[in-house]
Amino acid sequence: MKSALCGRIEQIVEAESRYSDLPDDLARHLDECPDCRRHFDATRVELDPSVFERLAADRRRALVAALAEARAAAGYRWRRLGVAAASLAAAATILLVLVDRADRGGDSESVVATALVEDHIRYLADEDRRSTVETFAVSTLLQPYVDFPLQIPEIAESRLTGSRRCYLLGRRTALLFYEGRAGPLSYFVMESDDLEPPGRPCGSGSGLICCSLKGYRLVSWERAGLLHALVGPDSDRVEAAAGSARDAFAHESQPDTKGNAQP
Amino acid sequence: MKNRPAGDGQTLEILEERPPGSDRHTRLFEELALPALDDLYAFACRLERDPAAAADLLHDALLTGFRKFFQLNSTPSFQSWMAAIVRRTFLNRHRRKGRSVPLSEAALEAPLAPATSYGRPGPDERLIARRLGRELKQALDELPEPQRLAVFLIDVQGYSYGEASEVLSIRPGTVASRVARGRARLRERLLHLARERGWTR
Repeated sequence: MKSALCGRIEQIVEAESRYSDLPDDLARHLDECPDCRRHFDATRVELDPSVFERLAADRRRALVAALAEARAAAGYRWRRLGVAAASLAAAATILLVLVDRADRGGDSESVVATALVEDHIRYLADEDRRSTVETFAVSTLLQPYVDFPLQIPEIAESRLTGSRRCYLLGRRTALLFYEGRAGPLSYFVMESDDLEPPGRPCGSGSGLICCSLKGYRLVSWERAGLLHALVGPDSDRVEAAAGSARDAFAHESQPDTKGNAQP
Repeated sequence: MKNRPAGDGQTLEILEERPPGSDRHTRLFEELALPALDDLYAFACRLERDPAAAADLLHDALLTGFRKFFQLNSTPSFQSWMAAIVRRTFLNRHRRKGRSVPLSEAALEAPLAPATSYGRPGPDERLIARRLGRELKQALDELPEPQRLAVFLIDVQGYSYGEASEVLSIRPGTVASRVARGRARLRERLLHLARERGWTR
């Protein structure tokens, strides 16, 4: 039968009758061309799969048990490696913290800055970054999670693109994702308690606190018992974006962490 | 032709989410392997031609696959990757035992007439084939090994020529050729059986 759509079946028939092996390009064509495949398959003898052997129940159980045993053994090996690696990592961390404290006077600010910046980096490619653009949906996701009234600011030249619940520095944190001229931004809101905004006052005199870490800019401020922090690329645009986020609430009565309105 | 399990296009995607060493990674092997056990066992039976030996072969191959699972990064299909391991395990076992491995290219040179037939099997032939399911399976098992494996992978288990070529470590063109010759032999056998039973002249 000649195919109405593809003439290569004739080459396949010709090659098949002349050579012991079909040329690879024609064989690959069989994989790719449904017409030729249908034609070639029309020569097959029906072989009913149900007549072929199936694994007996006891054999199947034995295989499943063997796999479970292998998994347990592998888990033990990995755990042993993991324990060794974790011990090394813990020793290295303690050393680094001691050195860091010696250098910086042991301030907790660096812990806050590191946690926020690393979280920003970790979720830069996360799908939650583009999960929704609906303020209502974001609020529905986050509000039941945090113990403070959450307000979602509009940030100048940026738009809300997603959100995530996260647990940072021992507290539930609302994380909002924005995209805009300042680049990808992560906006964290958490109860401040004893946390201080990390860094020094920004140069612009905006009253915001700035610091740079690992090539990223962290701009933060405290308001009504909450620590707000915006992390993005190391540029002044992040500071401008943070200013607009803070100012978005400046003219509203801001509830405190208990939900009471503040002037 | 069966639909093969393990949504294989997604295998690599899933692997990225479950890095080697994690418990989820080791469980993933089971999630992919368990639905494929019957097909892999049937393939092992085509190699060993003895159910008990095939079950032992599958056992060894599964454990090898489990150990090497972290290396699975370029094969789009989990099942064809496992089938290739089954075949390699079979070859290794027989080499260790010092037995000859019945994978001789010479088997392909056995007289075959006609070598290729592009005539479509008619409805009556298909009906006869269904009624002769078990006899045809036996006829398949009597094919020279290279043709037997190629026909089984392509026609029974639904592998593409590319996948079958990976499993058998031969070029796709050779797979197609073996399939065509195996089919021709099976049709010959089918007609012979039908004549024996007086279903056709």
